[in-house]
Amino acid sequence: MGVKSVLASLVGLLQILIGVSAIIAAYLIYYNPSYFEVRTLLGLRGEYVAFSFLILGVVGFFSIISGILVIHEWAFAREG
Amino acid sequence: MSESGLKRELGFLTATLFGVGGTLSAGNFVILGHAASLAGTSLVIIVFLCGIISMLTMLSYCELSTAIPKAGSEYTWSKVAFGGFFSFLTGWFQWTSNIFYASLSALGIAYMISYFFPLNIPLTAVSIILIFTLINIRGVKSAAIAETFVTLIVMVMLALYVADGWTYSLKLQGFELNAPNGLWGCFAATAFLFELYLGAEAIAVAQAEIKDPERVIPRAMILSSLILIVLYTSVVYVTLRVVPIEVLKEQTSPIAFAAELVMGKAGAMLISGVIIIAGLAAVNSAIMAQSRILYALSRDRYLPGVLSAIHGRFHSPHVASLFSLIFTVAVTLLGAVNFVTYLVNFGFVIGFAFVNLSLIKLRKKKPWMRRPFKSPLFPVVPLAGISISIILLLFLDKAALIVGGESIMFALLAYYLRMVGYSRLRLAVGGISLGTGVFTAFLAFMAETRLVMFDLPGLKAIPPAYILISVAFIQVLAGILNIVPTSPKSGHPKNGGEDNKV
Repeated sequence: MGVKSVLASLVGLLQILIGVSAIIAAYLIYYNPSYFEVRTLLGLRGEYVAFSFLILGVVGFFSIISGILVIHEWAFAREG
Repeated sequence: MSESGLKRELGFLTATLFGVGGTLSAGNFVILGHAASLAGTSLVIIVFLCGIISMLTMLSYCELSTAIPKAGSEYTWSKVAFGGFFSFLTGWFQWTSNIFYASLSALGIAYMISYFFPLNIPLTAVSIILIFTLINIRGVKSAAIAETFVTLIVMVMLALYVADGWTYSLKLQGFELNAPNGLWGCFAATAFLFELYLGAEAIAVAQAEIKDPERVIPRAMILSSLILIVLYTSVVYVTLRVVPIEVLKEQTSPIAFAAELVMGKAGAMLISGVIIIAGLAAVNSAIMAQSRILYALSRDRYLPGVLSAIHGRFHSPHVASLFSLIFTVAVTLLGAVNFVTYLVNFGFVIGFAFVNLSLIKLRKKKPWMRRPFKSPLFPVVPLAGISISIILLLFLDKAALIVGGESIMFALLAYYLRMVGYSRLRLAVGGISLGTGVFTAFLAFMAETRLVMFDLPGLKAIPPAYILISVAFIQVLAGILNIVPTSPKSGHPKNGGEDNKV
């Protein structure tokens, strides 16, 4: 695996990480569990909760897909 | 012998009990507390109504399973009726719903055990799922007769609980119907409890093992639905009579708590024990269904061929099982039983709508088709099934709707990945990443120049602009990496390269 492939895979991994974090953040914002009150931490008002959940969910979704495609293309498909 | 080589040995009674047993997930008895907090004591009527609603779709199941007696049930029917994306989506929802259902059943078991012994609920549930996935990979033959025996014991135990509870409740004050959250609460509880009757369609799935299926399947399905309506309504009625709602909603296992009051500690342990055993069968069925559906979708070339690989030694779709396991574990680790219940409902409500749509389409498209059983009052019954499904969707938890919406997006993505080609999809996703990156960079600029104030009261140490710039950088880089062509093999359409389908 060349340097380009390694760097691209790293970018892909980071993007997947961003996606997963966004989805976890969306979940935490929506449920605001008592052990980790994210809404207070972020100063998020109640009326923005559903909107934030949607945006973070969609961004998370596409980031995971994009990250997977980057890794697949640069680390595996090129090798084949 | 059936076309699949299985011996037809399930008679009417066994098939009926098989349908009843299919619904006896431990999760059903755990979620009653939350449902009662939504609907108050009106929950009794709601449980009854949910049974009637599910029966409308059961009639469609009866017609389709006898008219198209092939493995795959819902997915196969929609393939015959519609084909293309619609059948893929039906299979997709069958798969995701079974992921959520396996997770709910395992969580339900863990919650029931936790009533007696303190334990980590998500980890216990994950262990149950791991064990059953391994069992499934090793290959299991349908144990319908053993399952029906367990079902019979559960039914007897629940009947004893109802009888004892009734006697016990006579000493208490009278029962009054109330709905603290009004009509909205009642609808929300209906949407939440819809999954209570899921699983009776297991009779359709086991059609290859049923004697005289054309006659037995419709009768067994209808009778099992009626038994379940009586069973669940009476269990909920007795539970609400003996335990106040404020107490009930705080319990990890409402049925165990109520049974302890009525039958003592030993009775509660006995009831929980048999429900747990029956619940294990529900976990097993859901895990088996996940892999078989994924296998069928892959076999029909909707998904990558690797998912239809069969294990050389155990002759089971092991890759499909392991792939499903990842998602089931992820959902289970959330540990949020109510949220998972909404996800189960989302999948099955849409699945039921697809079954009714398939019925309507087939009646129009193939009126000459042989139908040993015909759903009555066509098209009123299937249309009512579809309308109620849509109405129930409106009352599901918003988060579950968004996750469900994202699941549809994944389905679209997976489908078009096969249909429009991999490279075009890379271009599209790359464009989205690039756009997200540019927008995030713009947000970072606005935050840094104080055009917009991003106040993070709890995170003073980390300036939001730095986080946003890092995210934007990665998104833009990933976008570029997806847009630029990498090799002739994976060439984009503009390069005249062949679409390299995954």
